[in-house]
Amino acid sequence: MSTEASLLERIASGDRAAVTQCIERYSGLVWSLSRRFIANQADAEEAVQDVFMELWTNAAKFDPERSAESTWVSMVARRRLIDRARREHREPDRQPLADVEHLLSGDGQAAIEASAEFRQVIKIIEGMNPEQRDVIRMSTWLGMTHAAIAQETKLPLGTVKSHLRRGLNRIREQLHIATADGTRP
Amino acid sequence: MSPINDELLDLLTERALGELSPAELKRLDELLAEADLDSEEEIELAIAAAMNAFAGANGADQRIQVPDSLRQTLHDDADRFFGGRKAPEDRTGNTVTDLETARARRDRERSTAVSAPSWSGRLGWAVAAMLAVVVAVTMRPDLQPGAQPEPLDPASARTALIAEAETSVLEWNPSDIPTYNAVSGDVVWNDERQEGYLRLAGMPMNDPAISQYQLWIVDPDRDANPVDGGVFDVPPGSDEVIIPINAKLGVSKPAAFAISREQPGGVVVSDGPLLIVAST
Repeated sequence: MSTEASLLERIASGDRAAVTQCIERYSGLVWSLSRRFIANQADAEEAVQDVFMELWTNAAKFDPERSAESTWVSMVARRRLIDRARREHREPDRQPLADVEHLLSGDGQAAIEASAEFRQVIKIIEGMNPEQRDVIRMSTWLGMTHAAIAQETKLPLGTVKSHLRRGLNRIREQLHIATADGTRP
Repeated sequence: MSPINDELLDLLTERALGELSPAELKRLDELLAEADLDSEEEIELAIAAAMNAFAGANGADQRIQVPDSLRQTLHDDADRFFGGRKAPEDRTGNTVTDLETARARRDRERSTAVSAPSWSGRLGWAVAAMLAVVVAVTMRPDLQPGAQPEPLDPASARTALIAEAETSVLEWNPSDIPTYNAVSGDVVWNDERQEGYLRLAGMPMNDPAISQYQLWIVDPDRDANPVDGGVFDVPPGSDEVIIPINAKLGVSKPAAFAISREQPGGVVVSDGPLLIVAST
């Protein structure tokens, strides 16, 4: 485990300054996700508040050995936004996509350390056939349902599911190889 | 590496994507009990990492700023939320004991779960590595370790790109559509850098709540279908806008760039008219 505490670990330990930094670092990321899921701006802002409350409340659950902090933040946000959509008995609105580049720009050291993995994953994604890549993108990035993907791509539903499972598994396997041969810590 | 039960991975993925029927949910519970692992969160992490990866790959043309009022509200929420808690002013006041306590608490919580088999931990590594995409795809290709240049604004970045060898500049063809026949400008593209910019003068504004412009890149060497180049908006009162291009897939030799107007968020396949085109 890194001796350098993450923002969430610091929040869990009561470091008030980390809370401010957390807002500055991740509000854009959470906001962009919220805007993708929720059309109404006021609702989207309220959802962002909910997400941060959850982040602060559950900061102690973040484990840097299992994921990077920003992945965990996105997971919590995504989960919360989906829950919200389900409560309102509707599909996520899937608003215009937003980038997160500027949100992570302060995490330069992490980006540098991660560049090797980036190339590996990009290679995996680029190596996928276009059909599989599109299915994974539509599901994870565009938030489309399996049925919608099947309709859009004209693929059988079973094929869509298979692409998703195999795609994620392929990335996992490839990264495991990278771990085993020492190209990734 | 331990093989993953396909059925379990299917069900975990589908539950994370919110598409399990009651029968499937019951089956998942059975498999999880048999599998003796705590893997659902890892699947969610993997999906989040992939989602972020595509977000990063989507590039910089759709940056949305956090409203100042929202940022202030979050800080106010934090004040209320942490108001009753004893907290040091900064990290130097954060004792080792504080961190150890937090980590110990988390470890205690995790230790209440069954111990994960090897694949679970490895998937955690996979998740961590996939996150690399989130941050690394945002780096310029020429960014070297230790260097953290200030990002250029689109106009400056476009100018810099034009100065590079191999950068092509294509002017927009006159449009046959009356609303767009006065649009002028160009497309700047560099194959090697996979970077480009649209310059649009006289482009009608759009209401993002109703429709958005979407760029399509025609690359016959790659695919018969055009590549999605991202959606963008033209705010009211804009005489000229410069939009970074975000090709979702690698583009080798683009033969043409075209813009359509689509539903908010864009579409995967456009059946709308091409408003303006720039071609080689």
